[in-house]
Amino acid sequence: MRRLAGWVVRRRWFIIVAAVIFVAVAGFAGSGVHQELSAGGFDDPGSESAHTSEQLVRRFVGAGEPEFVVLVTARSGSVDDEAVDAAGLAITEKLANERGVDNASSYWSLDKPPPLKSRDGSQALIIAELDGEQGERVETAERLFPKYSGRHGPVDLGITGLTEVVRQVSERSSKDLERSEIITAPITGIALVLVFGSLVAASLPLIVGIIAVVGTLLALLLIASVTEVSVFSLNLTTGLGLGLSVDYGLFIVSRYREEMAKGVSTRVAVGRTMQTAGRTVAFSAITVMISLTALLVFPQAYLRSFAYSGVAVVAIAGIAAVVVLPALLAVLGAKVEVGRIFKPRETEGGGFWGRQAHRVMRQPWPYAIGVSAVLITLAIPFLHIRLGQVDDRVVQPQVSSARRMTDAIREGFPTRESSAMRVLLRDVSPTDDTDAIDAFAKDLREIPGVARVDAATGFYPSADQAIAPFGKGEFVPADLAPKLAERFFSDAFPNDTWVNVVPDIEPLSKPGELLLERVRATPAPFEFTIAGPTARLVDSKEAIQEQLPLAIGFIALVTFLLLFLMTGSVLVPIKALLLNVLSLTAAFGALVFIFQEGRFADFLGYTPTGSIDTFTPLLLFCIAFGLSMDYEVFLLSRIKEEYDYDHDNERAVAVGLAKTGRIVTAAALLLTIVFLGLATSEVLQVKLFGVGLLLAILVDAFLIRATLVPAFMRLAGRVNWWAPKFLRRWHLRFGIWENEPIKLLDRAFEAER
Amino acid sequence: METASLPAGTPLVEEGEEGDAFFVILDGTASVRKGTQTLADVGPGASFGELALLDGEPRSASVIATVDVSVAVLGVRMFRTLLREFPEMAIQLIAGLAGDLRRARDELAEATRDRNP
Repeated sequence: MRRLAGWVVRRRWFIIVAAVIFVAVAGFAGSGVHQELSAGGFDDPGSESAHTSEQLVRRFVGAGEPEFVVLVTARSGSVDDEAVDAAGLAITEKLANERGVDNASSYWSLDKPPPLKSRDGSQALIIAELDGEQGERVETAERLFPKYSGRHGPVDLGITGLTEVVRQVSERSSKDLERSEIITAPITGIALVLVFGSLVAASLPLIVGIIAVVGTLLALLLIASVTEVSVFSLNLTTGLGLGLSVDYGLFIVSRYREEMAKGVSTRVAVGRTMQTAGRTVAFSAITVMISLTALLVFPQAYLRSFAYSGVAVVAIAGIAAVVVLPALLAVLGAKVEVGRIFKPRETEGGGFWGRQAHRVMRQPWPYAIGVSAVLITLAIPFLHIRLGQVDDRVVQPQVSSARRMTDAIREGFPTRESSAMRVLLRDVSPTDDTDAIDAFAKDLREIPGVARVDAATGFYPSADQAIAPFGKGEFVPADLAPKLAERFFSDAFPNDTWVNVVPDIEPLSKPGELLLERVRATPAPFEFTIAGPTARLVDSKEAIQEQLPLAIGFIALVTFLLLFLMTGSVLVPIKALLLNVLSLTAAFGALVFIFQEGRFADFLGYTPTGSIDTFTPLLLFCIAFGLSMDYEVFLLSRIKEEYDYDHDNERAVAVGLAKTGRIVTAAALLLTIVFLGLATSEVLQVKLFGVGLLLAILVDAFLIRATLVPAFMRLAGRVNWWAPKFLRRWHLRFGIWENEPIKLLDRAFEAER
Repeated sequence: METASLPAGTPLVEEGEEGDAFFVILDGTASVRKGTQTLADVGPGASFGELALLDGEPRSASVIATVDVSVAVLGVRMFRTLLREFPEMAIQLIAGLAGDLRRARDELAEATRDRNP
């Protein structure tokens, strides 16, 4: 670090100019990154459902996902009126001929099947499949949206469907991001001024933040050119980039001012800062990066994107903090105090955190038991977590027309046509194996939650559903609706067919999953596989469950090794891991209590779905774990430093807490502002993310640090620092030792000029 | 352990300052001075700085590089940890200090004899 500091001080102007050019180039090139990012990536591309969906689209016309759904409302009368009928047909044909549309069918083009008409007869559906990858489909939806919205002669049109929902959610998420940046940046700026007491010093962490965020946009642009990157990872870039930069900036600038106050030269102050705080920041950045790397074990592009953007933003923030920031400090010298508004209280010398540590260590048992009990109580709801997947309800109706249209379909139509399970039957001929298909379809319609089964043989409504003019539960043979039955036949694959299972329940829900389970368990004399939203959700969850032990094991092992390298202790890293898990499960429990149970829905502005997005706890785990470890590294490095002097465990804990108390508190509060910005998002998964990180950071930085860390450190006593002899010696040789300022090194540093 | 290079004339430690590290000269020579008096010249392999680390008192003498020197630097934390971990190293250090003490006693006795023949 000292060598790096020497280089940074010597080449300070070069570094600053290079950083300015980098920000300009990255800002210019990265400003278009949004167009290159994907709005999807939630599926496991290797799953059975994804594979089945692909096979269905390749074989059959009309077997694809209803990507683009037009809700047609007659301005007066019924959808069967002559003028509406003509308009419906014309719009269907026009849509089917649009570029990017694979096929389109509607109530009118399919000989008016009742399920595509609302119960009151005033609305009907046009369902279209789109061509290409998800990115291309989103572009098509964006192009078609204005053409197929609003008034068209005798009808009003509104758009929904999978792709349109994804498009509107991602658009909303980007708008929220801008809004959150506009809200949080000035508040963070003011908070920084309050922490530093000086305008120049306060602006330095923000400069690191700008470099980190803008640099990551460029990094994402480059990554997006080779692999799918989710647009939602941009939110993480801003939040984490700004948050960590503020953290790192705070640690480095505080240390620099501390050294300058001792009367040393600028050069020596920079050298000492890099040798101490700089080294800790670099170490902490590596820890956070490794936590985020764990997301790469999952197959979903959405999760992997957070690893790309997270690692990029932490790496760039870390480099900016240990290269650009010291260069700026070397140029500024004592001018870092310019614009001083007031003198902040010194960080050294006990204060609240020192007193708090002593208070806890006098009576460690009550604190350890009491606070653990509170956290475990908070964590209990986590045991009942129901994992779901994002659907249209992720945004509120007032900000998304797709949500309003889906709500109208939910309420006005008897079934969920656009959420059907598509069951592929391979080596089953729709002309020769009609008996087997008929028996299978009859079994399927008996399953609770199934409204109707469509097959090559005909249409099978459940006992409480009717296809007019037939009665409830009455079978309609295929030849009575030939246009509707056509889609189950393929000229290229005459020995394959498929079955459409239309539910009347919410597809992305526990009952939806139960329905899928029952459909999968239905006996049949042939093999079949299932595509559709519910199958996608279940497959995605299974993929996560499969990889989860690997991801958690990886994080735990690497964090343990890094903390061991830093402390030379076996127990301290284990304790840090357990406390982290405790704070995270408490935060998760609170999330379940609030969002899954639908509490404070009006106040927080969300629609309860009875589940938590599958990806959110995982992302929260990796990010909050990394951030908690960040604080842990700062705190433990200081405690260890003190312990090495005289092996007085209690003194070391108290001094460590006292010396880092103010800075970690300030860093956590500043991060809280950033996460509050995310919590104001209109998109539920971003809001969950914001609230979850907010809770995790607050629990960790205040409750755990102020009580459980000193209590457990006191209770373990000298055992804290125990390690087998061979590990102690290994640590002496290879461990990370943060050198205290040494005058001879300062002189060597001065002499390097 | 870090290494550092310093040009001739640079003080490696200064009398009266707080002890913060232990040093081993890797290359070059330095003179140990107390006030204006040169106590000794030391070269590669020589170590110094342990006294202030052991008793917490200020440095008892200055050490000035007489030519360009390269030194290995062991901070106080690492120094204390090494002594705890490797008692044989502590014994060697004590032996070195005992030797210094013995020499100092002999010199004192000799000086007393010279003054009172």
